[in-house]
Amino acid sequence: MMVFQAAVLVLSFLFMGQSQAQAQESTQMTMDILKDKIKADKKLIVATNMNLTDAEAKNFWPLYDGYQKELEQINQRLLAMIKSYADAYNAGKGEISNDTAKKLLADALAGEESEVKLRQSYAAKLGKVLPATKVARYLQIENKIRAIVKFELAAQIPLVN
Amino acid sequence: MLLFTRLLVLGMVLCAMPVIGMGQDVSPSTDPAAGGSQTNMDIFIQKIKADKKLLVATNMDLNDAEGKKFWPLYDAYQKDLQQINQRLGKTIKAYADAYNQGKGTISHDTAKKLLHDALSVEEAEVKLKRTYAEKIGKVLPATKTTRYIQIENKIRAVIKMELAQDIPLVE
Repeated sequence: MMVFQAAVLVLSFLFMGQSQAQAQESTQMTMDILKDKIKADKKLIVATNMNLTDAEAKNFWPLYDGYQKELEQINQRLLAMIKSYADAYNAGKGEISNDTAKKLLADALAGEESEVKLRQSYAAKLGKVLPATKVARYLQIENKIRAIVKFELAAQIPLVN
Repeated sequence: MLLFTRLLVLGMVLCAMPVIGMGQDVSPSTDPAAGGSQTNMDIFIQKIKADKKLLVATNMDLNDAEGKKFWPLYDAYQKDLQQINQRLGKTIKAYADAYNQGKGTISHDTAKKLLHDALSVEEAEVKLKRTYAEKIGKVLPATKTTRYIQIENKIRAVIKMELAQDIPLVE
């Protein structure tokens, strides 16, 4: 991993997926602790910004946890894809084959589609248990966090050659 | 407009929305007496479009044969993307109006409609990207198709970041 360390780290930290490339156990443990902290930090951000009543919270948090779990699967796919690109990019010294590019693009588009579908699915679920203003507010918070992640990735991932 | 002026400008400028077809909804001024600022906005938007095209051109390293096939698809993609941007601009404008009118709060009905519109725009954007990735994939090598979509993604990530920073949470 020469060029892509930053992007993979951004993903590993922000997306909270299972780490696949940690060779050393101590590093793995540190990563796990860090991921737990990021998960907790995100939940705290949501909690402090949602102003939920007790009744709303009772319905909201199980759905939140369900959403994060499914989002984590999408993030893991994204992480795996970026790692594939990083490996190919580094092996080819900055160049990748057309076959690899085709597969990566297909994976990236499929990931984006899954993300949009998941958001729609949870917007509908949340809409059944929370007032529309709070559903919109929650999805805005998720979007803001996602925008930062996407921005960081866009800044870190080099263009295909 | 109390709070959303910068946001509306962002919506129009960063999304490079065309003035034609946008009607009076999100124009900076609809007052005939303020036609000068409308003209300036037109010129500004044209410049942003040209800047984007130059950015793509200088980063794509297309040969003549590739360029001949790519640019018509690029132009068509930008045209379709513009329609999505207009919908996004209208959604932001509707939120800004409701937010300002309600002094920071909006009704549940408005929130429901805005969320629905925002999700529809996202879905349309992803579908459009797939459509053009496939079209471009038929005329360019996969590496160049991927590179182009990456460039679009980078530009979009900057826009989304700006919007995320500037749009206040629903109350």
